[in-house]
Amino acid sequence: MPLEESLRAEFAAETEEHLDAIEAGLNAPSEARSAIDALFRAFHSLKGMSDAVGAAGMKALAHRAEDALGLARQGKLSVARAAPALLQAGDALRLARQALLARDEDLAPPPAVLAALSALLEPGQAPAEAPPPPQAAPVPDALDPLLATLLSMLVEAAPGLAAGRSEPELVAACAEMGLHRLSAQLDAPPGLPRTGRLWRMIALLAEQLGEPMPALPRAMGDVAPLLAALAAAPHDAATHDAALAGDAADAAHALGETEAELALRRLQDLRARLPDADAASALARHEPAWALALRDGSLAALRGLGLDSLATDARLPADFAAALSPSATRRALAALAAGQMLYRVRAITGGAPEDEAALEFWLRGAGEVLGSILVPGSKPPQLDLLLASATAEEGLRAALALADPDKRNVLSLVPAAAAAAPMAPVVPSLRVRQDVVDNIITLAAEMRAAAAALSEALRDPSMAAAMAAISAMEHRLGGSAARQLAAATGQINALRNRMSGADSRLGLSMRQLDEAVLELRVVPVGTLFQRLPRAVRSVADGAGKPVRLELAGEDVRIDRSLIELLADPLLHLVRNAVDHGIEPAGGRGAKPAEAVVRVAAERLPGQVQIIVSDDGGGIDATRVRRVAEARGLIAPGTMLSEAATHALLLRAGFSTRTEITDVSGRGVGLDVVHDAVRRAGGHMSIASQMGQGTAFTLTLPTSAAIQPVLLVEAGGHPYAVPAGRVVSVLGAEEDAGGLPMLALEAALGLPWAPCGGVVVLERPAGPLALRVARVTRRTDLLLRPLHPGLAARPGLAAVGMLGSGEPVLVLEPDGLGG
Amino acid sequence: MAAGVLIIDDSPTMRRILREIIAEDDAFAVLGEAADGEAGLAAMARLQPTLTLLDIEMPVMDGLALLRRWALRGPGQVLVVSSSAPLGGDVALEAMRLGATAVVAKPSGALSLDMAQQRGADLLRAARIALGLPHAA
Repeated sequence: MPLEESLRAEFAAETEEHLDAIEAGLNAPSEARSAIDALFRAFHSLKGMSDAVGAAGMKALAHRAEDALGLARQGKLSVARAAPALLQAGDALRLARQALLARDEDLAPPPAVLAALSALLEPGQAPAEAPPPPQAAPVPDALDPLLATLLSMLVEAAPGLAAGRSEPELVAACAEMGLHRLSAQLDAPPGLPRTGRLWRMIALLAEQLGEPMPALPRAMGDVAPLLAALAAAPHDAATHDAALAGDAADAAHALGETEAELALRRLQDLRARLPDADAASALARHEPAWALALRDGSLAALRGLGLDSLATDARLPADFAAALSPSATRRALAALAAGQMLYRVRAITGGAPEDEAALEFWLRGAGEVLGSILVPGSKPPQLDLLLASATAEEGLRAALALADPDKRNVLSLVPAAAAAAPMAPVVPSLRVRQDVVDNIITLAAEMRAAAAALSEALRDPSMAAAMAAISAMEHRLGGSAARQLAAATGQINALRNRMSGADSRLGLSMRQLDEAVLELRVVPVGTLFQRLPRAVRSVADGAGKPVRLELAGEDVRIDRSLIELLADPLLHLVRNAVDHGIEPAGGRGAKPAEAVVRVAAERLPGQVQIIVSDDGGGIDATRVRRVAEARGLIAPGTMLSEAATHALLLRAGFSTRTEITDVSGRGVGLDVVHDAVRRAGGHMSIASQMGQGTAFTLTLPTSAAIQPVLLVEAGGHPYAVPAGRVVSVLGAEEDAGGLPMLALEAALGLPWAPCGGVVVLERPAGPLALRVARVTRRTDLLLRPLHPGLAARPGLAAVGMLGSGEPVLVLEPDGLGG
Repeated sequence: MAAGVLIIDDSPTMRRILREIIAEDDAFAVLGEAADGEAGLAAMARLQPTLTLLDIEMPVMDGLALLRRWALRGPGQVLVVSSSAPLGGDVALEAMRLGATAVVAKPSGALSLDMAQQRGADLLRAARIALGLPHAA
């Protein structure tokens, strides 16, 4: 998601500062505590900021580096030893920062860097001779003798305080000394919680004065009412009460029950954080044990609960994190640290013995099964297995295909941990302003036009004719004039050759420049897909249809300008698929109740194909025909091919739905989608099978700016047809095989001219044979926006510029003829 | 009257984000900011905030050291906003032992226009609980 501009600037400035500090600190590594602290904080801040802006990759990297410096802080790792890996981390963070700022892209951390950092974290590798961490010295208030007096007064009064006595003099004295919180606590209603808090405060005062820890009497009292209140307090998200848990923890402190205090403190933390999903799941998980212990009414029952670590590692799948044994958790984390991947395997159990054996065999070869969860309600029973493996996903799949070719045992295999996902190598990048890129693209287009003009001038036949005339003159002249002329033409010819050579080099460079510029223009088509899941969910929920959206080919790249053009049409197609394509719940017959809408992008040479398909009811040809007849689009009784029926759907205002739904209604139909695709220089086709589903195929040029075309001539002017739409080119005398025939002159309202060739064009409504005066050549055309007055004409798609600078109209086959 | 809030965090970006979150709720008004624990203590004494949002990892004096001083003196309530105090971890427990009302994670996730509603809501909610205010409508 793009960052807000002002935040982006602040993020950019602050992260750069930290990265510079890291580099400076590591280039001259120091083992001084202050230097380590500064490095730690720099990585820590980077972690926090990456997290704040949602850059998970940066966060993971900064986190790992912070962990290493945490060890250094404890004296378990020398900074000099860690410096190379930390510098690498700094470099990788710089790259990730640039990617984020330039493209809002969150780069995955390079595995090598993560591994180098992890190696630092492994126990046993730390130098034993490292000095023990210097304890941060308390700031003594020893200069204030009045405070020391106050402390001894408090210690003296402690037994009375524990018994619930109030000490107004101490309340006043503390307030006078500026110890307002202590004063307020002394003034608070007596009880175990107050005693616990006072004991802690007295200990803090002693610490701050540099005095030895005073011995405070152990409080007496009944903690059961506190625990009962805690057990009774509802802890749902709306009314949770962490303070009760805090009171109980303070009471446990007063009673010297350290373990119970820890457990209650954890409960306080959980309750205070309750809106947090981790806290909620931890609370839910430990709920039964807590309820049991609290009902017991004694602190002793709570002892064990504090030791169970409630924190879970985010790299493990949440459901498994709860189910894994401590040792399995350790093994899982060790596997991740060693660069292994975690996979989630859904397997069927209780099948035939040979099936089980095949599954066993594959699992043994694949890696280590860390744990399993029974899928609730599955019949036959299915298990979700957590598998740690050093093998990449493709390798596992290949082995699985051998072990279980019919997918009898293993239903699915998916990577389980995002943190260990395979990562593409990082290429350095730099941030460039959008207008600079646009400017380069425009300049490259201008230059291409100039180069093409030069090239055409060089190939101009009049040059050859002029040279022939000169050499004829040379023969006629004879003598010294002829010799001089011959020398001059020789020079001209040599120059022409050099120019031709330079021209072909220029042509090659221009093509390479075009490709490079294309890279600037294209973005992953996945950016188009981001809005789809939500749209599908809302339409599906509204219509009460269970629908799964599958996306594929997100990394296929497409022109940036096409993204804008296609965003709404794609959304419309997907909504349409859910709303119209998929049958109402209960109407899907033998097909799975959950319908599938699939959006897949695929790269073809020079083109990108996006297919939106559903497994719904398909297009009802009879119904389409009925509506078309009712609307007067076709004469009753007209014979229609499948393609012609589908083409009817693309006609303006056509809809087979009688009621207008609030989703795809509003009079916007497939014709609007079709128009947008055509404006993007592409075309759309429909395939449908009754009862099986419908697929809309959008074929688009990779680049919106350069389109390969076939040039033809009519009325003495060149016209272009998109090369992607040309099926074949026939001579003037050849038979078009009974295809509908149209003369271009007639379509354009030009006077009749003799036919010089026929171009067969592909259209959704069926092929069309276009008669033209001449078929000239294939070329790449730089497209310019069409004048609005012309854009309304259905037969025109765009205007292009020939190398000579002459404008050429690009024809839209769909708009030609009937 | 809006409760005065002090923000103590060494990251200007984070301070800005917190400021924007706090500004979402009329019950609060930001009194000031400080970039480390020492400056934070001085600001607490000077501004007497009703609520302090406190980071843990900071130069000069860290959040826990500040809490140790504050525990005896006040003022107001302290809400620890830190990514170095994981759920149930030592830092979080120590902060609460010292009297911090709660520990919340730093706001995370894609920061867009609806950021304040998304992640800021948890923080505002914790802030309201710290002061015993009713939940915002």
